[in-house]
Amino acid sequence: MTGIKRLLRLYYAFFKVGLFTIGGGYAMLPIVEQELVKDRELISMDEVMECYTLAQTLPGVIASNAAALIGYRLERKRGATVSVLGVIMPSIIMITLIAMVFKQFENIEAVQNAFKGIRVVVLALLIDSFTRLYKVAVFDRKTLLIAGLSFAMVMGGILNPIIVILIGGFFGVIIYRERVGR
Amino acid sequence: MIKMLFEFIKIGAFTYGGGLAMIPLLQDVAVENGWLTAVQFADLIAISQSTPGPIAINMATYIGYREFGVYGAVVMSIAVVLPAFFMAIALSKVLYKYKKHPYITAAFVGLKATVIGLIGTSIIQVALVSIYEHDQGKLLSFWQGIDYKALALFCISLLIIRKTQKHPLIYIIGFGLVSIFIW
Repeated sequence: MTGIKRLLRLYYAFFKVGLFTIGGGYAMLPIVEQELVKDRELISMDEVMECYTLAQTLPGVIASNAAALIGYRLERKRGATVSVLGVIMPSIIMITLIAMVFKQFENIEAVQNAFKGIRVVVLALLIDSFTRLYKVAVFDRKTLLIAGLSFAMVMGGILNPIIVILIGGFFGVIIYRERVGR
Repeated sequence: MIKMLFEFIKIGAFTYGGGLAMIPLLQDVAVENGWLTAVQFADLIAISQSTPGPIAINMATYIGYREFGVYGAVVMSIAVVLPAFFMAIALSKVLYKYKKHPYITAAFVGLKATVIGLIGTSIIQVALVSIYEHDQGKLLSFWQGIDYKALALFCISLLIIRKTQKHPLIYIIGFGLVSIFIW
């Protein structure tokens, strides 16, 4: 496959991701999983998760940071560029159209109802992806403890996600440096 | 235009925690500069949340379009993701160089477990906006607030997804269309 073709595929995959990211950054996981892991086998789900984690340690928009990190892994700088452009393009098109055409977009009842249903499906898709990710990332008591504590800290509003991520990485080094070193 | 560009780059560089964390800062900047009134800003939040795409990018597009047309929409959307884009590339380069180092590998074991916890919190948040009713943006009590129609739809969709495992977009579009008629 030629380089241009690969980049176009990446752009198209992330365009779809941008188009259907409703309800925060993680909601795009099921689509990334389908497009890049299952269909094209370009990247492993393990690597996708690494990129997601790192995306949250950077400022700005998580979805676009994740796109840049995944894109870079696959095709270096060019990959990062097309992935980010892909993920922001649907917003640019949709919002511009809305600003041009509808003044009262959210008042159209059919649109509102459709989005209600879509949010529900996104939840189901997210849980479906989550169960697969869980099997990869949580493989013993210690990882279960890290996952559980992170959930509790963020859910309870005790620590912000960035601090939790940094602590999680630190614990990883402490607990697993010997084991993975061999 | 330069001022707005600069403001969006600043927002992109200094807000942590994704789209929702940007809202207060964006509101200050937009209202202070007279780009939007407070009421228009509230509408914008509603539009951004009910349309596809990350909230922060939707907002940048909308404000950019209102002030400078399509050109503004494109420029501001890029501005808001630009600072983190360069940081992402720099970070990737460093990690690529040291990716075999056992400390990096070990750190990722911990990081991945952490993210499982964070995705858990995200699932709760999505659940709160999808299967709970909201009274003027405020959540009703735990049992009262459950939207049973949505809950039923959720169970059905999860079951179908589990059984069939097709492309996510098929479910999103399919259930989106169905919902137009059932609500």
